[in-house]
Amino acid sequence: MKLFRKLPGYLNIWTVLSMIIVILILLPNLSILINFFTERAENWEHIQEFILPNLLKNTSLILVFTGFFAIFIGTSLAWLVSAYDFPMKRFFKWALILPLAIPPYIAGYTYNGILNYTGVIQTTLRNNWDITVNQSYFNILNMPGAIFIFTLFLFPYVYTITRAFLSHQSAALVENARLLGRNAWEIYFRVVIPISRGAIVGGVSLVLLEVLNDYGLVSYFGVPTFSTAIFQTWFGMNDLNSAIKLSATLMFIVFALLIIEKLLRGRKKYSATTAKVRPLTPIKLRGAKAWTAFSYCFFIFMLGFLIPFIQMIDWTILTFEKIASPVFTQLMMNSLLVSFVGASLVMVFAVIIANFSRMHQSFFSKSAARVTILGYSIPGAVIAVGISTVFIDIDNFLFKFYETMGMEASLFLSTSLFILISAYIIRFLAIGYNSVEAGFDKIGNKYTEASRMLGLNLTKTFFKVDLRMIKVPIISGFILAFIDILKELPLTLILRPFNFDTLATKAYQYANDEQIQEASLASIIIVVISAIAIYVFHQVLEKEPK
Amino acid sequence: MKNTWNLFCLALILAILTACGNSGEEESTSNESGSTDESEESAGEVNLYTGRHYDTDQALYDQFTEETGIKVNVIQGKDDELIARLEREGQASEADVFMTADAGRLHRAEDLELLQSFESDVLNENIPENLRETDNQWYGLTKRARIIAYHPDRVNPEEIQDYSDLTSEDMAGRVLIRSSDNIYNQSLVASMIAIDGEEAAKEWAQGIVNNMARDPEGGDRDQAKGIASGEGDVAVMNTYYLGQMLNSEDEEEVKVAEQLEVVFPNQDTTGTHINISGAGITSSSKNVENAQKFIEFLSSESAQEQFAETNYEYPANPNVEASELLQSWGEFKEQDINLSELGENNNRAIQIMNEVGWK
Amino acid sequence: MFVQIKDLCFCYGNTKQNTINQFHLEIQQGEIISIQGDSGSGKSTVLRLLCGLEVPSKGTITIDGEVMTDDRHFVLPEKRGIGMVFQDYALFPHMTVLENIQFGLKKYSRKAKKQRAEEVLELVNMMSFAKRYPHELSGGQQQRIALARSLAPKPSLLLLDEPFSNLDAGLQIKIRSELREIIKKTGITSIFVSHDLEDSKAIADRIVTMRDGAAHNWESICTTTRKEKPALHLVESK
Repeated sequence: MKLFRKLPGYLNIWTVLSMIIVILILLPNLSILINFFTERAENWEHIQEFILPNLLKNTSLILVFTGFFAIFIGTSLAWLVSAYDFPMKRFFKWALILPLAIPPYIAGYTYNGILNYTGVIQTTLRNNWDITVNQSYFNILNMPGAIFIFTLFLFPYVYTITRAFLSHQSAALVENARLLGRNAWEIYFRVVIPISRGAIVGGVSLVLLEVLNDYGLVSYFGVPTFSTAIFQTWFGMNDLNSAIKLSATLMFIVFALLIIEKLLRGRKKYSATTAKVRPLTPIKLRGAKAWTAFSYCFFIFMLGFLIPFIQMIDWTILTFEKIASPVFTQLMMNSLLVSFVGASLVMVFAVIIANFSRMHQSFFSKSAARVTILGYSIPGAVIAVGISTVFIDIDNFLFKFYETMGMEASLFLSTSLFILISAYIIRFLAIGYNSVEAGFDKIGNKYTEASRMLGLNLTKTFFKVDLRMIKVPIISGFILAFIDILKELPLTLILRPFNFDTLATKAYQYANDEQIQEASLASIIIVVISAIAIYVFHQVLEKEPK
Repeated sequence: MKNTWNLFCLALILAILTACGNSGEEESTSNESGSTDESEESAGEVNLYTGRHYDTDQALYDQFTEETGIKVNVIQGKDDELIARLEREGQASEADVFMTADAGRLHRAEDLELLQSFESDVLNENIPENLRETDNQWYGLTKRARIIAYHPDRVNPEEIQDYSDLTSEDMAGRVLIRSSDNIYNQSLVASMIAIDGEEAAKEWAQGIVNNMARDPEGGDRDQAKGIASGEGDVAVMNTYYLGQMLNSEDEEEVKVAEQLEVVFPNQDTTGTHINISGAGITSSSKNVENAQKFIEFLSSESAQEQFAETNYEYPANPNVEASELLQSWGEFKEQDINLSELGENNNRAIQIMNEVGWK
Repeated sequence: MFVQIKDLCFCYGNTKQNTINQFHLEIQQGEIISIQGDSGSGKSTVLRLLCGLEVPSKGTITIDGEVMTDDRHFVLPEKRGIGMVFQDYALFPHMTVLENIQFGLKKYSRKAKKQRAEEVLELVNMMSFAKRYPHELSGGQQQRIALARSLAPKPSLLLLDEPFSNLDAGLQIKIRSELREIIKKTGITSIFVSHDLEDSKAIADRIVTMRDGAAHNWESICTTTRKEKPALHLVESK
C-alpha cells in the first residue's frame, strides 16, 4: 500500500538512470566477488601465516602515521592561511594544493633520486668536500620514507577541505574565542581542531583511501602492503582467489574506515540554515611571527612541490634530446582527451546519483550513494579485471549484432576507449559525487521544492534551478577528477586500446625500467597540466559566492 | 553563463566524437587493410601484446612495417596483466603475438593454453634449441644473466664464485638484493628449486636473508649504488642494468658502475641463472602468418643486433655478437634447465621467500 | 468543500511514531486558515503533505473535488496547482525578481508572461524592483516577491509556511495586515502556519491548533474587516 503511494514519486528518469549506473558499478565488482564464495583459495593458508600479519602491521602503521601527519600539516596550514595575514599568503593559499599535482610514486622515485648515493646532495658533498655520509641518514626507501612521501603529497586533501570550512564557517566561534582571551595555540587546539572535525575526517579519509590504493610507491620502497600482496598472490602465485580474499579484506578495512568516518561526522546538517555565514577576518602578523608563518608554509611548499619539481626539470634537461619527440604532442592530446571526457562523464553520473539520493530518503538511494565509493576503495588492477570481464561478456552477447553490422572485431567495446572511460567513471565517481553532494547539502532542498510548487517537474527543475546553483561544486569536482585521471596508471595501462599511450603510461614505461631521468619529461608535463588545473580550481572556489 | 555552459557541452561532444573516432579508426584501418585496395604495400597487420617497453623495440616494429608493409599494433603493459587480459578475452582476443621479458610468464601463458605451436625453419635456424619451447609454442629472443656485482677493493672474487657463496658466514651483512616482490629474484629461486630441490633453495634463501646488508629496497640499480656507497659489498643484479648505468646520461651513475666488477656465478657447477625475453603466437590469433613473419623478423640477424645491443642483453641468435660491453665480460656457462621450469616453480619460490622472511 | 483532508497519517523515515496522526480538516473556498501550534507539532508537515512534497502513509486529500492522495492516487507536487511561500522564501538567487516571478508561468506566451508578472508585482506593490536580484532586497521585500511568485500562476490554493518568522517585530505587524489584504483581494483559499497566535488572529478566518500530530480544536476569529461568517465544521480529534 505504502509502496503504491510512493511509486509515482519514484517513477522518473532519475531513478531509472541511477539504477542503471548502480548496476554498471556493481557488475564489475560482483564479477570479482562472486569468486570469493565459489572457489577455495589454494594459497590462503600460506598467506594467513606468512603474509597477512605483516601486511596488517605495515598497512596500519602507514595509515596511522600518514593520517596523523597529514592532519597536523593540513590543518595547521589551513588555519594559518585562513586566520592570519603574512608575506605571500595569497600565493600559498593555492600553492599549498600543488603537491597533489605530483603522483606519489613519481615523488618517491624523485626523492630517492635526490637523496641516494648518486643524487645531487651526496654527489655535491662528495665531489666538492669529499664528504661521505652515512647512508642510513639518507635512505628514504623504507617505511618512514613512504610515510614521508604519502604525507607530503596527499596532505592537500586535508588542507583544502579544512580551509574551505574554516574560512566560511568558523568566524563566529573563533572570534568569540579571541574575545574570551584565548591565545592562538589554545584556539587552534581547543576550537579550530574540534569544530573542523567533520572537514578533517572528510579530507583524511581521502588521504587514507589513496594510500591503500597505492601500488607504485610501496613496491618501489619495499614496504609490503595490501596492494603489493594482492599483486604478488594474483600474478606471482597465479592465485586469483587468494588475491580476491585479500581485496575483500582490504574492502572490509575501507568500509570500517568509512563507518568510522560517518560516526565521527555525526549527523550532517544542512548548512543553508538561517545562520548567516560570514568569512573569517584574518589578523595581520608582524615581525618574527610573520616570518615564522611564512617559513613554515614555504618549507612545506618546498618539500612538497618545489624540490621534486626542480629535480624533474633538471632530469628533463639532461635527457631531453634523447627522449623528446613529436610523439609527446600526441601523448598529451591523448591524456587531455581521456581526462576531459572521463571527468565530464564522472560529473554527469555523479550529479544524477546525487540528485536521486537527495530526492528520496530510502534504503536504495542511500545504498546508491555508498556504492559510488566502491571504485575508489579497490585497487585499480582489481577493478580492471572486473570491468573487462563484464565488457567481454557484453561483447560476446552482442556478437550477433556486430556480425549483422558487418564489423570485423568481435571485441568491439572491450578494445575501444569505451572500456577505459567506463573504468575511469567507476574509479573516480566518488570524487565527483562527494563534491556534488556537498553542493546539494549547501543549498538544501528548498529551491527545488519552490520550483516544483511553481509547476516544474523534477527534470525541468534540475536544469533550470539545481544545476545553476551547484555550478561551482560541479566545476571543482570536474577539475579534481580531471587531475586524477591524468595521473591514473593501472587502469590506463591494462585497459587501453592498441597503440594508445598517455603521458602516465609513458612515464611508467621508463620508471618501471629504473630510468627515472628519462621518465621526467612525461612526468613534468603531467605535473604542469595538473598545476594549471589546480590554479583554476582555486580561482573557482575563491569566486564562489558566499 | 548560458554560453559557457553551451560551449562546454559542445566541447564535450566533440571530445567524445574524437574518442570514438580514435577507436573507430583502428577498425577502419583493419577493414581497409583486409580488403587491400588502398596501397600495394598494405599487407595486413599484426597485433602485439608486449611486456617489454623499450623505445628501441618500437624502432624495430617500424622497421618491420617498412620491410613487409605489415602494420604492428601494440599494447604495452605489465606481463601478468597482459596474460590476465588474454585469458579473459579468450578466443575473441585480437592479439596475435604475446611477448614478455620472462620465461616463467611464457610458460604460464602456455599453461593457460593461450599460445599455439608453430613450425618455422627460420626460427629453428636462428634460435638455439634450449631457448625454444619443446612444442615450439614460444621462442626466446634475448637473454640476460643474473650476476653478482662486487667492489674489487673490498671483495676477493674468489669468495663469490657461486650463488651459494653469498650465504657463507663471511658475507654476513654484506649482501645487497632487492625484494622478493621482484620477478628476477623469484625466477632465481625457482631455478634453484629446479636444480637443487626445494630444501636447498629454501636454505639458500634463508642464508641470503641472514646476510642481507639492509632490508630489500629499490630496484637493481639501487643495489649497485648500495655497493658504491659502502652499505654492502656484493649485489645480485641483472647484466643489462649495469650496462644501462655505464651508459647513463647521469655521470654519477656511470661513476658508480665503473667501480664495480662482475662475477658470473656457478661456472664450475650448474651455470649462471639466465632468463629470456621471448614471444609466441596466441591461440586466438587471426593473423597467424603475419605473426610468424613478425617473430621471424625479430630473430633475424639485423633485428637481433639492435634488439640486444641497445638494452645490453645477449642476443638469442648465435650468429649475432653481443655488444662490446658484454663481450668484455667474456663467455659464460648458463644454467642448463628447461626455462619452463621457472614458471612451474614460481609459486613455490614466492612461498619459500615469504617463509624465510625475505621482504 | 474545497479542501478535504481525512485520516491523514505520516511518519518520517524509520521513526515508529506518527508525526501526523489521524489529521482531519475541511476548508471552504476563499477561507484563510491558520494552523497554529508549538514547534514540532507537525504543522509544517501538514503543508508539505498538502502540496505533495511528502507522501502520507495513510489518508486522503481532495482539493476542489480532485483526489490528490489516496490509496490509489498520488499527484506529483508540480501537477497540483498549489502555490507555496516558503519560510525563508527560497527566491532563486541566480534570477532577477522578474525572472523569479515568471518562473512558474511556463505555459504563457512571452507577452502574457510579462503582463501577468506586472500584475502580481503591482499587487504586492513592488513594480520598481523587477530588475533587482533577491540579495539586493530587504527581508520584507523578499517576502512580498515570494508571495507574488507563488500567486503568479494563479494557484487554486496558497500555502504559507511561517511567513513572518524572518521579519522583525515592527515589520511583522505592518506586513501581516498587508498580506491579508492582498490575499483577500485575490480571493484565494489560503492556509498558513504560524507559532504566533497574534499573527493568526490578525490574518485568519479560522484557526486550527495542532498538538501531537492532530488538530485539536478550532476557533473562529472575527476580525474587524470580516464580512462573512465561516461555516462551522467540527474538526475532530482522536
